[in-house]
Amino acid sequence: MKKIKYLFVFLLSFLFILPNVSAEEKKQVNLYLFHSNTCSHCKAEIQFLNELNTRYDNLNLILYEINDSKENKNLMIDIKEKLKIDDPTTPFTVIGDYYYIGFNDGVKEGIEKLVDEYSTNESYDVIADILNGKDVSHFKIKYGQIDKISTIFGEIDPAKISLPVLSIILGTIDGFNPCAMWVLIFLITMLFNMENKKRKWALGITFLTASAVVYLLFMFVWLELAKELLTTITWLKILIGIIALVGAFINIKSFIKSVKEKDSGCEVVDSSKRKKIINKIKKFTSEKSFLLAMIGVIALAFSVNAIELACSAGLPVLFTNVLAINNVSFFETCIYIFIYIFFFLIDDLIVFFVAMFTLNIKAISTKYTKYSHLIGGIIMLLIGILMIFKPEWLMFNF
Amino acid sequence: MKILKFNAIWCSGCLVMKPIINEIKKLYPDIQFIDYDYDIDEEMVNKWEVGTLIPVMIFVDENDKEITRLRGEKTKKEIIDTIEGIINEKN
Repeated sequence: MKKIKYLFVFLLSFLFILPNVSAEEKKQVNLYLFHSNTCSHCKAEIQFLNELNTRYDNLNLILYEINDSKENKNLMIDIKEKLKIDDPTTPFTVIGDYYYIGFNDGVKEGIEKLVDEYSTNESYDVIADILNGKDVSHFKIKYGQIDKISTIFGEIDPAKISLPVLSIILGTIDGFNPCAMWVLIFLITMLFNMENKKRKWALGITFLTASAVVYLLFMFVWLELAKELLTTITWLKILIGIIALVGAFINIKSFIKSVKEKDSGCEVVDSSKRKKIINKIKKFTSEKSFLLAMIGVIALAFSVNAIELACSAGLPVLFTNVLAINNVSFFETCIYIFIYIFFFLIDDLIVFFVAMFTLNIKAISTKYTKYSHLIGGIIMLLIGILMIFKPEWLMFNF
Repeated sequence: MKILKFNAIWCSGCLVMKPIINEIKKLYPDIQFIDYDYDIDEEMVNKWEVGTLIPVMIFVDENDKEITRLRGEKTKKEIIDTIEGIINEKN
């Protein structure tokens, strides 16, 4: 009986010690956040960190606002240089061996996991070493692990899905837009009249390549603009969201009109502009000088696709904005834009190659183009609303 | 009866209709099909008030009077039903 008593008292004492031990074991966790007072993601992250701090009193938040303080901005630049992080944007979070740029549900879950882990395990504070002037070149900081994130497409793993899928969807829908298809069909018809097969192929491929280049230039320029402005001017995101909603309205309205009208066919718009383009095509497809013909085709591609961009600018603008919000690296940007443009041109490529091989133009029925207005309109509506109310939901990839 | 067809080289809807029309020509060898290009035959486009949606098929009688018309892409059945309707009306 005595032994049981002693055992009982021994176990009881554990209960008193344990909390103290766990309180002592809770190590201090330093979390550094570089933020800008104009950046909506930063505000969302600060709100989350304050809430996290109520649950983890050992969490030590060290915040640097970089918009008003030049000193803080230079410090961030210096730290990113030393840690070889080439992304200039905020919020920029460093905790232990990891860093995050941007903020959303996935980052939120990642930070909480790290705080929890470092509350009990040792962590290296690279920022403290940098502030003390120590050499940190030996240290390789890692991008924070993101498990699952919730986006408008539901709970998904960012590693597998996201921007590539969006590139394909938006590129395909944008490509279905009939604005420039008529030019390609007319060009192919004119190419059929040419005897010289090599020239035929050269002019056709040049037209398609130049079309891709126009889109590429536009999207890169817009992306740099969006990256620069979106992260600093909040109302610009709202403005783009509104433009997207207007684009959505136009697209959905033209779908409803085409459904009401029952007849679907080729809408003949702007005769004078059309005639100008038709005459240009006739001119350089009958041009003796191959060089002049090539220049003519390139000029045509640039002018036609500039019109096409205006006709469907909503989708490329939205797509590049989503890239800007996701802070993707330059290399990733090139990949996503190439995917977008490939799927944008895919219907043109099919029509061109089938026509050149069969000498018979197979076109896509206009009955389908009205659905591209509907789908494009719905996607623009969704992205427009998210741009205004929940931009962080558009963050897919890291 | 004659059928006036208004197309354009660049119109994908017109291209989609081409094989359908060829089949119908075989079915009705005695109907005359006359093709007009929207960009080249402007006079006829204005005369028959073709509008801004093509392809357009206008069915006319021996006195060149319009009987009916079909606007936009149509299925083979829709065209045949229209022709049969006109033929039955005449008889």
